[in-house]
Amino acid sequence: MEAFYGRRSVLTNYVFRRLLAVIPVIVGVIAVVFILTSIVPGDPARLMVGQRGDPATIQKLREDLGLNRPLWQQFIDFFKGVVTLDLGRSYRTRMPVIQAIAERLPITARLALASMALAVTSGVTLGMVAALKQNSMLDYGSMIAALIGISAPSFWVGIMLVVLFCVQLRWIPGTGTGDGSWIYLVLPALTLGMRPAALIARLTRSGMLEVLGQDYIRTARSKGLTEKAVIIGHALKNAMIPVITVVGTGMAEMLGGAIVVEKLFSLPGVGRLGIEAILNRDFAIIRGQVLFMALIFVVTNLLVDLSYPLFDPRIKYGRTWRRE
Amino acid sequence: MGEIVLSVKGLKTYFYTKSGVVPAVDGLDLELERGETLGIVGESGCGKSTAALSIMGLIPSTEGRVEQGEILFKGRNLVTLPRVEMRKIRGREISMVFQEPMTSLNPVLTIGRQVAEVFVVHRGLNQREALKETIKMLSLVGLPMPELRLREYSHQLSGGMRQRVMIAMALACKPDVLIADEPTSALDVTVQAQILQLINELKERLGTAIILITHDLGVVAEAAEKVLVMYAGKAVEYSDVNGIFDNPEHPYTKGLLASIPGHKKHGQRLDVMEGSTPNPGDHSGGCRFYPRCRYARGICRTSEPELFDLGGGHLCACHFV
Repeated sequence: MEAFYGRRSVLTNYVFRRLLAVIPVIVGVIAVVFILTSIVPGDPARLMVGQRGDPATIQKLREDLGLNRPLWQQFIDFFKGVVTLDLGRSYRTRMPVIQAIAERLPITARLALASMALAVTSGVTLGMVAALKQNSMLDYGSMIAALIGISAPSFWVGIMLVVLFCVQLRWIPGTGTGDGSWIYLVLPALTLGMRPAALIARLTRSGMLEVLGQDYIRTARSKGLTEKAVIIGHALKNAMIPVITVVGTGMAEMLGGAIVVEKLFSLPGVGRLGIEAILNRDFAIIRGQVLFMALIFVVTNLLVDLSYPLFDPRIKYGRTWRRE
Repeated sequence: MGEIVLSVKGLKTYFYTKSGVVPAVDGLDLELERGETLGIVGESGCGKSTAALSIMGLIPSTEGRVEQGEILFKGRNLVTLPRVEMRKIRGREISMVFQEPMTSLNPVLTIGRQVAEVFVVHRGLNQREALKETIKMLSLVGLPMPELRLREYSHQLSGGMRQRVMIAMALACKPDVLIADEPTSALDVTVQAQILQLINELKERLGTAIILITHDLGVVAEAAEKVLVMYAGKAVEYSDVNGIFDNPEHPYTKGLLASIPGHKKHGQRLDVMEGSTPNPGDHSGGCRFYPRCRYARGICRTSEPELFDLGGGHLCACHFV
């Protein structure tokens, strides 16, 4: 690894600084989330008790949840909680927020990984084929498919897939997690991975076309390499640099919870946890979930930045935060 | 006369663009003896590089192709050779060094990997043996601390060092022919001299014949034994280096030599050739140099002169020599 990053201390230093930079981001996120959840109409206590609950019960509940105290005090409590990794308990189930997220995370993570694996393999393959057969029917076909992939809304695609594979063909038993087997992951992963796949296909194609015109590709050919060795060995790595960024941000978005897809396929993931919390005015969960999403984004971005030198040795981390 | 390793006969390489057919090389003949250096000179766009890429079989098939003629290399015609066979020759028996060492090396692969690859592909060595050979080759081209260079990338080297790596790569399999396309044009003057010297030394050592493509007559004077002057896709004069510099016959060659700054005393105006290289394809039957030639007469407009032997192997394509 040292060969890629230069001296190790430089790398450690860089990671440390990037992690420090997370703090203001998180503070900002906490403030915004707190303010937003405080100004939305709807009293969680009243919602929990139901419309016909008597005022005394509601009052009692408000005291239990700490909702009767001044807003600034609630904010400070919340902030202290975050620092000590205690995000409070769900207003509804009384389950610790961290536990609620942790319970839902594996499903979301599996879905995200499956979708991204699908997106990268199909996207890169499609993009490469399109670039190598530029202006052929294969190229046009791939790019039209990519255009559809980017434009078609996931709720529609998801429903169509269910109709086709579950209802008509009966290849896949149904939605939900079933017995936990991978077959239940296929349709949600297809639906969720379609957009990044299309994006990756387009980026790979344009990256590949640019790289194939470079002098070093001519050099590689002049050495007597086979076309396969030229493309896989010399062109692909250069063309992948823009793709990593898409993979990184896509992964962050998916890990934060794929709300539409999880809802559509009845997968109890982080995204569904969030949407349920919003419907129930379960502010503790909402705050926790948004905070979690922010954290995932920051960490994924850091990982993406750290992976650049593996693909492009010209990128190094020096004293400044900017890439040199 | 020595053994001829490479001979090109009536080579025509055309490009197909939206605005029509571009005959970049239009009937080129040349011969290369074992171990000699042939300099090909001419202005930008005269077809020097296209000729080189044609010999290498590296004309992009989407853009153009060798339309006519033959390229004979050790008895085989490279134009009609199957692709698989051509790949075995490329990089092993005929190799090439390009003009711009910065962009000609892959920025994301280590120097070691890029040079070692040649040994793996052509000599079937495994990775470790190939790296050993690479170290030998890198020290042969005068790269300091070759073991360290293996793990470095092109952006960590200077321009001269990069070109040394390119030369190491090209000479790795001790080819019969090395085509050097403007190998020194992108380098500093001091580095230029070093690289030329290196090419000359290695030629002596490995017995490689060299085609040295350049627009710099100084480079030719220093490194070449024979010179071919190209104009608008064709050879106009061919001779040994003394013949070209002492007795230039073709008006174009004379013009080129007259426009070298060193030939004039300080304060004197430099000779310039009027006009510019014609666009390939504009040619309509007569001598290609006719519109710019100060000696042109009627015959030059209507009939194209062929290469004519003036004696002693000095060839010239002009009606008036």
